Amino acid sequence: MNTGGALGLLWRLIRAIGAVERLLGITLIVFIVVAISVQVFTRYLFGRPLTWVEEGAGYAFLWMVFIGAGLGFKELRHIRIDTFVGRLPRKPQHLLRGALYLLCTVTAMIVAWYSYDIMDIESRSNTIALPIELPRHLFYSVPLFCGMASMALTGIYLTLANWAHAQSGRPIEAELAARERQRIDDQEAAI
Amino acid sequence: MILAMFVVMFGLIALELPVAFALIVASLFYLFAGSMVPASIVVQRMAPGIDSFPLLAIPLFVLAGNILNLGGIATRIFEFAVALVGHLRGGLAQVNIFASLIFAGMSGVAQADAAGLGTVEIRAMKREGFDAAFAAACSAASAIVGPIIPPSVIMVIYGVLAQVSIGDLFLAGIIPGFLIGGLLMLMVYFLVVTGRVHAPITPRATLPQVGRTFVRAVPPLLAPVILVVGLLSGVATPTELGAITVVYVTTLGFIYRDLTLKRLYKALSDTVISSGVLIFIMSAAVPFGWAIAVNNVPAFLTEWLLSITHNKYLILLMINLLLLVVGCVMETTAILLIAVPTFLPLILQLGIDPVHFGLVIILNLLIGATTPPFGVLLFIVQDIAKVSFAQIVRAMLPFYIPLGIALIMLTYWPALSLWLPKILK
Repeated sequence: MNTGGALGLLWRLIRAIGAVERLLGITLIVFIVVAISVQVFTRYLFGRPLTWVEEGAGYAFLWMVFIGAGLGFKELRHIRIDTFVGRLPRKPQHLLRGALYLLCTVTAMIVAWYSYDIMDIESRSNTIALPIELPRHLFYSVPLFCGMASMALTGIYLTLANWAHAQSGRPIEAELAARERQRIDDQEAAI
Repeated sequence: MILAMFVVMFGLIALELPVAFALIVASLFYLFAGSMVPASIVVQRMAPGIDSFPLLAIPLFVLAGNILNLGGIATRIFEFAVALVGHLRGGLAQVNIFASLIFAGMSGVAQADAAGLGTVEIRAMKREGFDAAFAAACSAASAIVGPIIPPSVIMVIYGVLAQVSIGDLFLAGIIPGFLIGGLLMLMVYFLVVTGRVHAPITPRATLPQVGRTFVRAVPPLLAPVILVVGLLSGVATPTELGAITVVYVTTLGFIYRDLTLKRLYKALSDTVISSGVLIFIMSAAVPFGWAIAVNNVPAFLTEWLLSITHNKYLILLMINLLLLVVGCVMETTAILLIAVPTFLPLILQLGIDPVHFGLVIILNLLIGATTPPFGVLLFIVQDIAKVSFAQIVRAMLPFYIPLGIALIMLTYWPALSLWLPKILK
């Protein structure tokens, strides 16, 4: 099997998932801004707060966080501290990075597994103020599971891409994309 | 076993594992290796641990900052600051700090101040003939004021962790923020007068010029006014004020034509990622915090420190020194997430006001963000100024003096932070 081709395909899949995550995330943050602003105005116009709006914004926030974290992993935006790894020669550097991404992948899988496990327990309690009662796991373990599953998939790609890079110098698409985004940002800032 | 958990976390961070994952791996290690508690119980806390309405303020203030950074608003504030303080000894270096003080009233993240206003400031200073490394150091040092003067993302995190009023924290930051700005401006004056730094002179603005730049700056200047008035009158919670600020700056952005739909889309997308990544660290720290708590680490630490001394000033000094050292090598939020639950019981037992302690710990960690080897603010300004890291660190050195003085004053003079929220409430 041509690893490069398979990895390229995996990256395209991850990018497609990322595009969906971005759209969902943006919808959620817009909802949060609108919902909270509307709530402030209605409180003063009609003298009573819409409590379900506040609860709804809170749940949108939980989804946004885990979606944002999943998307951030694809864009290599998770906060980490640059130490000596970047100064290692190419081969050991990327072998090590691959191993660390493998650790991220396994961790994300474990957390995803446990969050799947607790869905049943959480589904027994419901939301309080929303117009329709919804089981609580839809806003706790389900977004956590989705975020973790997304990061696990990205982690598999990043592990293999780093190892492939160490072996053959094959470019890591995620890094190229991050560099391209940086270049566009710099260009915008210069204007 | 709890010690091993800390070693695992620090070790993985040193290997450049993302901070959030280092926290989860360390907690899982603890759970699998040394605890009888099923891991699912801990994972179960990860989402509810961040289910808090005050935390919603974070993406809102991050979004407001992203929109403010699109150019026009930062430029207007900078022009106004030039007209007001440009003629002082130090010229644009003084403007740099003064503009950060104004910008701080709108933006809640130091990184946003360093990146947004920093770009405008560093470019202008380089053009005027300032040393690029000095310009960058001024921007990094003054960006610290951003999260001290409200709004402040890090104060929201502290408020949620320590369960203190975010409104009180916001008000408590106003006086210290201006104090830090004043001390930094004094340092610039000293550096210029003693000939250590060459500062081209900017001509004094005429009154009509001041008036014109003021009128141009009024709409953005109203944003902090809305925030402070909102906080004082109790009309809205900090989270609600965040949403109102977003609506206000978005409207301004469209009026000034800085904001296009494409740019708004980018600002929104960036907000989803940066606040998602930040709050995911908080969620990842929930199991870690749980392990610290069930092992009675805060109680042991309290007992140990109290066995050395009962003097609260000495204990505050020890905590400050420890955090300054850790701050050099660790990321701000991660330290806050671990330090607050660890030290807070001791602080309360010593009778120290948690709002006062919050301001101390936040300034301390922000200073850590300007110190090598891991100083996130230095990395940002280095990227803008295009100078070497060593040059920036050298240019930063004199600024650690006013920052250190401010930290000492804030630590040992509680009224500095507590006076304003007390008289206003």
